[in-house]
Amino acid sequence: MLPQIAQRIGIPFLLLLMALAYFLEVRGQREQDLLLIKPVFYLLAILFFINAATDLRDILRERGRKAAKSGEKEPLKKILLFAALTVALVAALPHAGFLVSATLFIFCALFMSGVGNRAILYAMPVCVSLALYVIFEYVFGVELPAGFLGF
Amino acid sequence: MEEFQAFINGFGMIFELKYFLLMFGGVTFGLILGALPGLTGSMGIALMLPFTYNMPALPSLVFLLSIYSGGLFGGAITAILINTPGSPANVATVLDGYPMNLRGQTEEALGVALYSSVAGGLIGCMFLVMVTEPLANLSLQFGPSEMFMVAIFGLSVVGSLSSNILKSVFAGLVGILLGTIGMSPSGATRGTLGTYYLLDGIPLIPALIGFLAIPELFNLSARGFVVETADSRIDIKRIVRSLWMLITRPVQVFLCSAIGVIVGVMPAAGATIASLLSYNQTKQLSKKYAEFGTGIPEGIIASETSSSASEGGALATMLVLGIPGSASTAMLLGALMIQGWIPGPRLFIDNKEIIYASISSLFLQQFVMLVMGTLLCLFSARLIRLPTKYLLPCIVLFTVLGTFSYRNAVFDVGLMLAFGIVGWFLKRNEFPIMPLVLGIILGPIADRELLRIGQAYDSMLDIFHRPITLGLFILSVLSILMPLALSVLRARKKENPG
Repeated sequence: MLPQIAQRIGIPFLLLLMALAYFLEVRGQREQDLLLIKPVFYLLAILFFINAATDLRDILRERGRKAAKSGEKEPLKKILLFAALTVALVAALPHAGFLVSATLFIFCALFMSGVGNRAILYAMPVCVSLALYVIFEYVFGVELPAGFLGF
Repeated sequence: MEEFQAFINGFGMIFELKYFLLMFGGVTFGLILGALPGLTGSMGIALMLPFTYNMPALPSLVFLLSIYSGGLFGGAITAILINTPGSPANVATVLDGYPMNLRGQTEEALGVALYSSVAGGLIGCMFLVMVTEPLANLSLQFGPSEMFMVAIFGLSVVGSLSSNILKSVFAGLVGILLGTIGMSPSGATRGTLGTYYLLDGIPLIPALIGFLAIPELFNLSARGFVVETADSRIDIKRIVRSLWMLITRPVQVFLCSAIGVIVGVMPAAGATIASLLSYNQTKQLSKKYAEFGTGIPEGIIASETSSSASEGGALATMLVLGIPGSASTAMLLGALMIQGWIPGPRLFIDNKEIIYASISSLFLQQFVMLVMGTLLCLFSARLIRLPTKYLLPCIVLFTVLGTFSYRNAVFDVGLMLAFGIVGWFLKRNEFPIMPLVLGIILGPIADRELLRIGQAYDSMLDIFHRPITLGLFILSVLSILMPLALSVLRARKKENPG
């Protein structure tokens, strides 16, 4: 029962806390800047309690019955690894620059996926990164982040 | 029927090879940009604007309008393939387009979206020809109270975006709060965390990609293919056959287009609200109510016809009154100013011939989009069948680049990723995200107009003396209550079938 409560009530609770933090930060401002924020926050708080009560009632009802199986969830490990790699890409962007970060990102992603073909493993990161760099930098005129190598 | 005559005469002006080349080039460019996550047709117009300096007015307008038209449909491609609307106007397309894609009906979904976009564009064009001035004058009736109610009306659909109405409304309210972050119209900073990157509020592209695309991309990393059941052969017949889905739903196509045109005249949020309202109304009135959101063509038809038709409304306002309603129309107006035209009510009167010729080109552009769009759909359908190990890193890089290009800020990329992680967590725990995204899009409009109401009126109740405001308020209340009432009626009907 506790995981269900955590899932169905925990997340709205976290969002309410975030909303509360925002409300506390801005509540000292002029009334005209809170015209929408105040009623929305109060409504949010009321809705949270209604939602929580409804969810709790449903959880208690379902406790006696066999719990309905929710949709199959994707395996976590691969997702977390890919997410970590994406975080690393974004973190490296301002320091290593787009070209280096993107090349390493594609290489690591292919390696983690088990791509064995060396031609693809080495050529694809370089070709794709270079192509994107040229398109965005020279065709679209977007100045991409340059790292310690100057590009 | 002077207007209709001018429209026909316009075809005579643009039936030349150079205009066809401009249309093909513009539509293709707009389609490609719109189909890349993070890039939009507006960006295409901005990129090509300098090239129009040396062009006469009509070719310049034809070229830029072509990019605009292409960009509108291009955004539907990413909405269907990777759950990422190319622009806020394609948000509703995600709801049924992506599930259809996951079921292996990629070509059907893309085909329905393409034909809906073309149909909406053609109907919007006809409205533009026949009722340009009344449409534009309608936009003059919209003051702060009307615009506030338009935003509320748009937000009222959040209840129908997921099976749990209470959670949807809760998510929508959180989205509205997020939408108020930034510098208020009166100059106060709210929730900016000390960074000037948030002074303009939460940027839309990072929010859309972060909440919608990134969670999906993370989940796809655990799968071998985006569409597990798909045959690797691409069948153009499946795209073409989806035209039948539109032909058998003429009333829906026309009504959704009409909603698009009327709502499209409203500045700032026309196409987005048009597609959402159209989707919501179609869902409420459909016998297949329960199937919306699971992947049915009616959902895509509602969204795409309406957002394409809204182009007609937005252009009416821009051309007749010189009031741009969006970044794209502002740039189109900029292009006209480069030609020495003066924005304002006389723009239309002094340059009627050229404007009607550009409207004629808008009509032809839909057929160009039919051809180029079909090719892009075939290419995209082939692309999505590649193994995710090759596809995903490239898509992630496109989202990073597209987000970065928005303001040339790495901060936006970080924000996109942060939203992506939060969105993934919410999605994994079955918390609705679409209402939250809607709140972020429409919240700033509601906030800004509410402040203007506070400044213009002594009491909030005074706004209900305005008939359009009152009408929109009633529609908003009905929009919230109708799903509840209909769900109770349906539940009772199920219990007592006799």
